[in-house]
Amino acid sequence: MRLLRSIRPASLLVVLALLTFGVAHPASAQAPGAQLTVTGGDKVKIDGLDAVSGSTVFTGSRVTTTSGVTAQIMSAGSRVTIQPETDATVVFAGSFMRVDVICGVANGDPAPGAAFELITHGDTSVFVASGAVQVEAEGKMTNLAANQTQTFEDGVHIRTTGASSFEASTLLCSCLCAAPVIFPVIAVPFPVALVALLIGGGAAAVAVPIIIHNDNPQIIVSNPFPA
Amino acid sequence: MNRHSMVSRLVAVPVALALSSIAAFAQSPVGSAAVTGPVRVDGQNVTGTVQVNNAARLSTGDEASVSMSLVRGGEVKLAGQADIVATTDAIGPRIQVVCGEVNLLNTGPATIVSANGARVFARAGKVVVTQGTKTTVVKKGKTKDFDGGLVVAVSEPGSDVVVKSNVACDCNCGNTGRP
Repeated sequence: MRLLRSIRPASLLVVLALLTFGVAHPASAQAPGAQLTVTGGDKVKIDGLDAVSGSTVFTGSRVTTTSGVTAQIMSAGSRVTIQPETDATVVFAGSFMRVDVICGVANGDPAPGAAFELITHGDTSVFVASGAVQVEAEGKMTNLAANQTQTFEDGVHIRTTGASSFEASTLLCSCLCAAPVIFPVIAVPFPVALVALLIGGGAAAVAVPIIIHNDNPQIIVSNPFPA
Repeated sequence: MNRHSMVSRLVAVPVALALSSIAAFAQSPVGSAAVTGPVRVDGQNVTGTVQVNNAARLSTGDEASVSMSLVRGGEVKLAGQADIVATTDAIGPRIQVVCGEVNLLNTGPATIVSANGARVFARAGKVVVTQGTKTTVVKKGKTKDFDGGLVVAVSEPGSDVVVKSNVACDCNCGNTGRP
């Protein structure tokens, strides 16, 4: 009892504040992680590395699923479901959650009273299963209620305060990405370089590249039957 | 004041501070960006100087540029055809490179993440690249290529690192003159 009395309220306040915010160690300074659940397969990619159910997902992580595999991320009662063949970045803090769908389909299920945002960057279909969402797209705001669906051009910014449930699906995988970069080889022996040059020149003579530039993924096709 | 009341007040203060810090995190600006050319923030076309909030996505089209001054100090530079998600947490800025090239300079502790591998150029300062459990130091003036997901970390105030994703971008980003 004497010990308890010796702990002054101010000291207790400092201790509680430190416990709340964490101390200066970098690991504890990072925002707490969210829980990952994988269904339909064993693993998904988190920031390009394999992750399994039960893994911790930190804010700002990029989640990539393959065919048939779904990833669910829970944070403070809110949930985002990353559907198969989807690439998205997930940010959260407390009850706030924000998902940037690079391409694919994601479902948002914010907890009651929790702020939730979802961004896409190409033509997107939005379906509200329950509750209501506000969609910023095509230069205006649109309110969607339960059982409403609408397609928007050129990306959406969905905002809602749960409880609600909705799905956003990019119509074409508008990841704004092209083919992988091939970094130039800096040092190549002369004969090898000469042979490669000759082969490349021959290939260029028979292949006609067709490059389509727009908001959709770049498609590069070599015409097998040049004129 | 009885003991229960005192304890309630003592607990309420840090909890309120924590909640306010979470709200601040969600809406806090990461920095201020000066943009030229076709640039989108969260999918919306922007011009001039714009405030960039936490978790914003920045996409640049052909011949565009972005120079973003970070709230905590330092700068993020993008040239044409780059796409990033800029977040910040208790440690510092965290840049998720979707595609293209990003230059991070003069920050304190900061990280750049590339899920698809990257070429890393350490122009100044110590640059540490982590891939799972493997750690590689890229020395000043050196360039190194990495496949697969990686996290690039800088900690020195004067550091200057360029990370070029193994995936190129293809965004017209509102450039209506482009086919």
